[in-house]
Amino acid sequence: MRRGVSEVLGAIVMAVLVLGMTASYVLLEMERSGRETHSLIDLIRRAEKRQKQLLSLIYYQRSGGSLKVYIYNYGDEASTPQRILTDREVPLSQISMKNMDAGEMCSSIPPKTLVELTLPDPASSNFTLVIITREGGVFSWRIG
Amino acid sequence: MEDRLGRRGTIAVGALAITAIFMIAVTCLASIIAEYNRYAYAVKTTSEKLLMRGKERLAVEQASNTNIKVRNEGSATSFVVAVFAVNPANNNIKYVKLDAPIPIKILSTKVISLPEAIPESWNVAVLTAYGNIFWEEN
Repeated sequence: MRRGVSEVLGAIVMAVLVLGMTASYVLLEMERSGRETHSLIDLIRRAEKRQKQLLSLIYYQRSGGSLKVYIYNYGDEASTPQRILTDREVPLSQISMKNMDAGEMCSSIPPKTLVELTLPDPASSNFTLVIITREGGVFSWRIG
Repeated sequence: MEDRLGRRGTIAVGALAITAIFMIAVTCLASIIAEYNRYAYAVKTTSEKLLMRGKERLAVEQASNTNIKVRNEGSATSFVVAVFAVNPANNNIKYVKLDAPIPIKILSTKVISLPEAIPESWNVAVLTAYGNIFWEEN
């Protein structure tokens, strides 16, 4: 009788161990797959955002030591300048942006909107204006 | 009897684990495929826009202070979204965004009425939905 009870108990313990280990493995795998899937999805989303950014230089004028560029966003994603390069890197504190639709200052270029970007006029007469956006877009135009 | 039960139990647990892992893999793959489809659509839309942008060509003429005549000489329908004007004397800018984009079919001409007057001495241009700007030829 005692032997019978210990055998049943042993079987139960074994079953619990097997079930527990299986559940742990499945949960671990679920967590790992979820993490990797999310990082991959994040990568694809960033690439999608980059694709949706389309900026066009409409006009520029240089006067009184400042350069005004008019940029139209014909994409579907807002573009936020993160780095601006002329003949040197222009600190973001030295630039200002005005939404031409609303007539207000802004920090990003919304879709279907014209923005006036004012920055210090570079010393050289010919240069390439490069705008690198926070969303991963890189745009360049030859000026001069 | 006990042996058979134990074997069945092991098979059941194994099957359950395999099913769970399979379900996880399917869910992850489905999410990635859905996201990739959205990315592919964005690439397609951008390529189409760039293609259309290259096909645009408009001839602009200022008919009067409040009217601008636009003729489509390109090979795609253009959508005029705004009028841009510069005073050559002092570089003042005027930007007039239209209430709705005005479509101009291939080889057709449209007159755009402006809500505010632009002096005829100013340089006038129209801005299209594909980000092109076409200036009046003097």
